[in-house]
Amino acid sequence: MSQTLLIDKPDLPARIRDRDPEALTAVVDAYLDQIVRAARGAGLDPAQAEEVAQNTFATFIETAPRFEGRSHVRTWVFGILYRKLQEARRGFAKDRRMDDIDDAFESRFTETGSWSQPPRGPDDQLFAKEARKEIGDCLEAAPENQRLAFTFREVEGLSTREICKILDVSATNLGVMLYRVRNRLRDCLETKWEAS
Amino acid sequence: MAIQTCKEVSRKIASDELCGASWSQRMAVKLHLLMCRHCRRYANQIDQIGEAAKDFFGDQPADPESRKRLRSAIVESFPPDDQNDSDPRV
Repeated sequence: MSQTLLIDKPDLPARIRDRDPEALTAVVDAYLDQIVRAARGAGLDPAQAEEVAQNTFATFIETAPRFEGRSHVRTWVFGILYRKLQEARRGFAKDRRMDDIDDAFESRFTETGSWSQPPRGPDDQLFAKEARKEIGDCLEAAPENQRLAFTFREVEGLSTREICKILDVSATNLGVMLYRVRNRLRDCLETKWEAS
Repeated sequence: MAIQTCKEVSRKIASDELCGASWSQRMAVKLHLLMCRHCRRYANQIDQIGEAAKDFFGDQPADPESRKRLRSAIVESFPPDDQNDSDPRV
């Protein structure tokens, strides 16, 4: 309990800079699970996710004396995770300018911007059930950086502002990533629903 | 206020653009959703996908043993205390 409090105390940045073991431990305890989960969300298997988490905290401890506290410590740690993922996986390049999903989305509308192929699928309640069953499969088919942005947003519930800082992208870029990954997941679920 | 098309509304919803939008912009989208069942369905599906992802990851808690091992490995890698004290701050 005291560690949860420590993470919110105003002297935390200074204690992190001093590499105070109690402060460092509090950070590990506060974010280890989230880091592993985010790495899994980005497509790593459990062993890889643990390795990346360990590397993330190793770098956090190494760079702790440079932590200025201008952004939240979580933003700092997740930023390190993102760079570790980029090192570990080539798929983590910045989002491409062109993506097939953009054309797929465009093709569902008329020239005047009305739906020509409205969203299909079961009613809301059934869709929710279906989505829970198939989301894992559909996530696997999405590009890794889009998955990470999506995981930060939906699973960890971070603000778009914080995710922009972590991924070092503009709000517009993040918007494009989220719109692409969500449409990709929605299309995937729709296809699965129609095939069954 | 310009009339928004379904394409604009759904793009705004999927890109989370409304989070930073003004009250009137959010209101315009809400009104569109009230009137347009296709966009309403789209918005609901996008919501459900987020909920499904939350559940999906929530249902896979870390194995407590491996988590303990990982935590110890990290905590044991901390620099020794005395080194910190002798570290001159510039």
